[in-house]
Amino acid sequence: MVQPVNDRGGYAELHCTSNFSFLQGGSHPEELVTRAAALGYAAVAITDRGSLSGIVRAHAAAKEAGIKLIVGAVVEPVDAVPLVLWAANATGYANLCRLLTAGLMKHEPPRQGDEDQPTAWSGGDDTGCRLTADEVAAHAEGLLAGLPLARLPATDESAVTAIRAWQERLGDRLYGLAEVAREGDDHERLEAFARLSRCTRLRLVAAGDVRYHDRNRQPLHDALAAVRHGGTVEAVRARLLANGERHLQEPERINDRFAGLPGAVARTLEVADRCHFSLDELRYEYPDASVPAGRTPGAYLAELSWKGARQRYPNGVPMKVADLLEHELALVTELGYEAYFLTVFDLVRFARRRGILCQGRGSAANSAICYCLGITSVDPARMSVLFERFVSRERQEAPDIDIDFEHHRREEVLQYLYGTYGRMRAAMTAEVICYRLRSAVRDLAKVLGFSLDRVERLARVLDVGDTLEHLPGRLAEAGLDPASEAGSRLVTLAGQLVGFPRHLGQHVGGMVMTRGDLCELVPIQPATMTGRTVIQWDKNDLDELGMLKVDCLALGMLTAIRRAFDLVEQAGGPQLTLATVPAEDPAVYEMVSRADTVGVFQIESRAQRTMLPRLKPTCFYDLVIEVAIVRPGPIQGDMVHPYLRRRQGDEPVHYPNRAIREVLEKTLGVPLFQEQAMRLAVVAAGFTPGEADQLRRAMGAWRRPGVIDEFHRRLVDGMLARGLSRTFAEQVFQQLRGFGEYGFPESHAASFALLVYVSAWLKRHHPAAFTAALLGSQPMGFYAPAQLVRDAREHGVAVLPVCVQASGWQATLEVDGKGAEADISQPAIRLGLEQVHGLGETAGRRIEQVRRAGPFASVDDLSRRCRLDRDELLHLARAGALKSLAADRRQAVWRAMQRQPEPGSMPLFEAVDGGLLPAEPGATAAEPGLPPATPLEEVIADYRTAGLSLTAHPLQFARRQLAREGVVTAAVAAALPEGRRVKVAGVVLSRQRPATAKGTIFLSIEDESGVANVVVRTAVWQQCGPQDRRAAALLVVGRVQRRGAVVHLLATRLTACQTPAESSPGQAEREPLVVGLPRMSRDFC
Amino acid sequence: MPRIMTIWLPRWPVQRILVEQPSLRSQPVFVCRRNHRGLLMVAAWAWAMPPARPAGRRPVIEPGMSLAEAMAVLASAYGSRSCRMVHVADEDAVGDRQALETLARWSRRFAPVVAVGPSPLGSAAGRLTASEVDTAASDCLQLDVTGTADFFGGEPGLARTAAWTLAARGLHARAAIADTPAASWAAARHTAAVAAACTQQPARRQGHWLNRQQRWVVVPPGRQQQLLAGLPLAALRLSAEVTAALVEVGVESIGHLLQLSRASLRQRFDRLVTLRLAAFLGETAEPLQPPDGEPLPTSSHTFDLPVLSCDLTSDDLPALCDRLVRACLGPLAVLGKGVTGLQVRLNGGGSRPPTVIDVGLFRPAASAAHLVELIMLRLSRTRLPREFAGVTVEVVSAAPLPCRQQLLFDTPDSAAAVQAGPQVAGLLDRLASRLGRAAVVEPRLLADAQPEAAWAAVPVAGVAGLPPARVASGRAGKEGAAGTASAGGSCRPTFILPRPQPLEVLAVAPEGPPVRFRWRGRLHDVAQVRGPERIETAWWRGPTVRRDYYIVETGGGGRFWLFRGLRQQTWFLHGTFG
Repeated sequence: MVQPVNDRGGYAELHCTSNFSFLQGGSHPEELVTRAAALGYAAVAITDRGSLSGIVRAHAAAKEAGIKLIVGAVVEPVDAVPLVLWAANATGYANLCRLLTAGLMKHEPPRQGDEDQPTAWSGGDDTGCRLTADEVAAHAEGLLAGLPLARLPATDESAVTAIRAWQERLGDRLYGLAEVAREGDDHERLEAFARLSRCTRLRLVAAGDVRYHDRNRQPLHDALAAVRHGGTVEAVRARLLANGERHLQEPERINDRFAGLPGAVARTLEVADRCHFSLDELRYEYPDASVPAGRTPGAYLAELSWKGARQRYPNGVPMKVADLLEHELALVTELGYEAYFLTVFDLVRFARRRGILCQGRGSAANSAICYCLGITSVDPARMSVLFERFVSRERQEAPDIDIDFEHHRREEVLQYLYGTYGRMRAAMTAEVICYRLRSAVRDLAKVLGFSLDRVERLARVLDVGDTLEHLPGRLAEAGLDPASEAGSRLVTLAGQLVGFPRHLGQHVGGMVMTRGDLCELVPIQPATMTGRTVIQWDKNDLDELGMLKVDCLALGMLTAIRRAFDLVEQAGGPQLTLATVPAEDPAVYEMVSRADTVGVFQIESRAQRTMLPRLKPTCFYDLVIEVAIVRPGPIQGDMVHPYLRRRQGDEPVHYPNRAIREVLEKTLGVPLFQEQAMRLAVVAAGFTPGEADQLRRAMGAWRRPGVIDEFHRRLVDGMLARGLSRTFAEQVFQQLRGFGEYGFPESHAASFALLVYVSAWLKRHHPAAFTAALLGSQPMGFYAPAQLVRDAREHGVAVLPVCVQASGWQATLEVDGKGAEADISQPAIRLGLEQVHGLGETAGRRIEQVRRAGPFASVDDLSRRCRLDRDELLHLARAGALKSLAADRRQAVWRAMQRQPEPGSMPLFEAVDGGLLPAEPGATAAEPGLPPATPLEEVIADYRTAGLSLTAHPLQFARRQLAREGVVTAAVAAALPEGRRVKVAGVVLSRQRPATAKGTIFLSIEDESGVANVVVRTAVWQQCGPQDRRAAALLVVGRVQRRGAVVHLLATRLTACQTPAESSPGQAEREPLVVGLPRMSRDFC
Repeated sequence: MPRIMTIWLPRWPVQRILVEQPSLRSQPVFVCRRNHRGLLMVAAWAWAMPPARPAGRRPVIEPGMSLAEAMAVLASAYGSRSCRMVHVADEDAVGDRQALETLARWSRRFAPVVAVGPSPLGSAAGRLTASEVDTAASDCLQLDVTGTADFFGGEPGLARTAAWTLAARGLHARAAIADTPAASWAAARHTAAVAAACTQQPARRQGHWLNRQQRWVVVPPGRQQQLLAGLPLAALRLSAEVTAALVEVGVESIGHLLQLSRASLRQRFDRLVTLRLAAFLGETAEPLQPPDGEPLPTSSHTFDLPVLSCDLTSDDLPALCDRLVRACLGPLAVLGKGVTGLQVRLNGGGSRPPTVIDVGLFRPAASAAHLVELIMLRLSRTRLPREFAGVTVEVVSAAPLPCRQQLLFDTPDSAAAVQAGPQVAGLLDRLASRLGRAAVVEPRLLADAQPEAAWAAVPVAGVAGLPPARVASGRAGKEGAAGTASAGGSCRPTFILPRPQPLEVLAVAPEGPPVRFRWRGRLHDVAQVRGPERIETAWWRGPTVRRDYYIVETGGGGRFWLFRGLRQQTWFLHGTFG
């Protein structure tokens, strides 16, 4: 193939910028490495600017392509010319990481909210790595350095000075990188390099300053430069490279190019030989947990586990659990994961000490060990078979435990980790934020010079799920011919840009901790959020290197449950924990089977509530299935209906053989969990566990063609070879394919199911506390506060309005404040000040605190004692929270509008200088000229300021007119027979466009009688205008569809109920029904 | 009691365009402005003659919508084809104002005092802070019609005549007469509602039977408080913020607002609210301000009898112009101004249109000799009418004369500009008069890798003290060029051909340098070669330019700049050195 370039046979490219120098390189590291291998290079270095983010990908690709990878980075010290650094050995690598960490940690991260702008952080010309030459020198051990001579000062004297400055620091580890790119004076340049080399005895090496693997990436590289500099390509053309020569060159061209510099090409191999570091040498070690002196971690873990077991089972540890525990402990000791479990235990112990509710999930979390250590609360005795996929001996797979914490308090846990391990030993995992189609099109259209207006339109026509194939069609929709010159340029570049990393974000919760210094494994940099640090690798990189992370996730429901437990206790109820909530309460399952689950974790969505009456869960494991089944994976794999039929006994369950029966028995022959999919591949198609693991990883990548065909063939062949029918094989394949979309592992489902049960139990037995807790944990879940309150009231709970005299910051329970219609056994909910739109938490808490000294006498009293400014008072007044202090809401607002004295003026002197407040008589008194508000206006004001109204529903006021037009209430519509044509009006609560529903939109609309579920086919949706699509309230014409207890409305026409006030009146068909109602909808599309 | 008539021209920016370009009446016309993010936002729009009734609901396009959104609304009403017919114009507040001033002059037929409104409510109310002065665009005329109505058969007759006379000129206008400018402004915006109130019809039902095209209304003296009480707050020109706050407490009409105590209003809102109320009720005078700006000097000479051009000696016309120009310069000199634009009209005898010469200058001039020279330069290029009856010189624009102070510490640029300024500007004026402004250009270097695109001929802009042409960094493509070793390389020939010329070239290696080439029939042997310099660029403009440039020295001593087009592997000559 490729001829050896010289007698020693080869060339090593020592200076390659990948796209992990964000917005600078024009190729993925994998592409560079693969191309270098194909060209016959002896080695290739990936040297990004101040970053090792792309190095693990390059490492994996290099192993596959069989080429040597040199790990390096470019540093640009503030006081010296830039330098390419290569890690010669492990010490050098550790030093490089330390050095970059030191430089990066000096950087001030950009403020949040600037994300539109390409900031320094996301790759402006400043890489964020601030270093000095002395710092580089201090970390130079084990590193080799190359000085890009083309970037030296122009005159020989200053160039020599710059070289000498580095030579003094680095000695013989410094090379000069001779880089030319066919710019007309290559010959002269090489001569100049040679001259410098003679003056300074600097050894010259050939290099290419490579920016992309292939010449055809030049346009993309130019476009990225334009994005970086924030102008069009035309505008920044002065900064572009004049040609596309900075790609990986064919070896013979390299020889031609450096013919004038003998030995420079051969010396690349010398450098490559001196660099013998590989990422495989990295030894990741889990941090030592604090083990008491004289005990091994294993013994300590066993001790803690047995102690925990005795606490969990005061009446004696069941045999089954004891066996499990023995088995698991042995396995853990054998594989050396004790420290991991002890660390997780430490974290959970900390959270529990602080009173932070937490729960583990993940493959290892549902082990007996974790239950006994208190990491999870899913009793292994309560589950049937779960732990087969614990920590497997064959696959060297790290145990996987994710821990959910209360979302408000997760930061405490993270800071505890930082505190325990120190900034240099613990950091968060990064998440590489990549270009998606929409962002790629937006950025490219901008730099290609489309008008901003057009850019907006292009970006707007792209839906979230669109892929490249959709692009030409979408461009046409936006009025841009994709075949035109500009259009095809955009399409081509977008195709290349999608998937390019744009900047480093942080993973939702993955913490990495190490025994030694983490900053010697990977550079650490500050995150956007103050007080956080992230490493430069993402979770795939960690997987590749076998590094463990603990996922500390934030879960709103845990906050709500913790709050509900507290409220129950405050109201005189029992003290509850996740584990002590009474198990298997039939009343709870009865409620769940009725789909009465608004607010319950996971099973409150519309799709789940349609499923519940059909599934009728009766035990904990049914909840596990319920959680797992309504997922895109099982839905796309068409597993839902077979499961339901079999569960209802309409279809016999048939297993082809016993092994398959073992795997699928608990889910009636239908694979619902990820583990089952993998086991199925093992027992039915003869995969090894390792291959099954590959299968699991591949599931996520199945959108890519090629991957899928290979597995398809192997699966079907394997099953046919085992005597299974082709039909069965194809069916299994389709089911597995579904998991490619999104599947749930059983262990996750089990942990979630526990929260489902606990929240359902709370809803069933303590609805007031439960709703108050949910209101205090917003935003979360599927429903807005208005629906939660409505649901609570339907369950007989009294809800009292926000009031400065009674409300805390969060919703509270009032035992003696029962409304007339209230259920006597339940306390009333007092809405919290946090419902008041616009009011800050500090002001709200201050009101709560100040009031303890005595109720407020007047608005003035309130404003003075709580030091509230005009805006805060206005927010309170608008929300009706001042009603107890003023005649009505309008008077309160009028009072609050009054201008206040300048801040800093002394209240004492105000009266003296005729300050603003008492100056004009009558100004503070009620204003008689204000017209009183109508009930409808009151309700609309409630909706605008608090998102909910306790007095009435806005549509109630239009009911007479609606009735004249033949519009019925949702409750009436729900009782109509199948197929009946009906008109319903309502406030839009949610819009959903699930990826699995082929563009169908699901709307929930609400009127005073209840909620109607509307199904809108794509065609109907397309027909209605933008005003109708985004209206706050809709009039729906449609047909009733009944599926068992579930009623839908199949819409044939949608019209906005609310015509804008300014529309020309002659055209409006009717008076607007509801004017000024804000949009309440939660949109998931 | 004064009586004020307001003539409101709804969507004035669009109306103006439609009057100026009547052909646009069949198209949807949008006038847009750019917001801070550069997005086009609709300022006004109209479709004078849509092809059919909208398919769906009548499009609701409000000022402030983004153009893209407006197009979506338009498409949903009239189908997507309508979007392709759209004419988009940039907002031109100055042009709007000027056109309105012209209209104001025309409207003097109705009353002696005509102002372009709405008035800013400044002078009468005393000092207002910058934030209090509202900067609403002008879209109406306000006329003091006290006592002039009788010429038109009473106030109704006047208002009707005003509205319909404008309609005959193709302008949609609404007219209202009331006691104060503010009240008549409010009434003009809501003619239908006010007319309903005047005829004592219930206002709620107005939409159903009253003529919405009600174009004029008269509010009888002293009754604005009563008849306009039902109008929305916007009719008082209160800021959106104040209006929103008042609406929030249920105060939605002027009548409601009048019920609130002024003291409590003052405590809550800025002064403008009470000022507007007072102006509305006539408690504060709000005098009309006719369009400002002093007339620019003009002078003319009419011959006793039309003269024949051929009878004039070569000195007559310059002497006459000199006299007229000096007459114009006198009043300007008092103001410290010089002429930047001048119009000379040779008024033809009888019905022939005048011959007009426009002279524009690069910097204000106060020298009659210079101006006359420019006029004569232009005249020498103009065909004179055979005979003409008179000459008029009108100053079209003037600007303060620069009083340039010598700098204490000169930068090289400023020193050169100061010294060269007057002379260069004078030369430029003369050249431009002779050749036309577009013909006087200066070359500018542009940073572009493609040699043809690396410079541009830019018309000399503006006044003397020319901004120094940006010196491009020789060669494009030095990322952050400063401080890098880019000395060589960027060698460019002295003469560059306007377009590369194909050459016959012999090269030995397929990618190697040229050895021999034929140009203008002669064979040239290459003695020395430098390069190649590869240029690959311009992909964003069209096809990528891919070339390898060589500087060659021939045996004959000539130095040439050649390149090989990498696409077709053909050779071109692109320039020569010396």
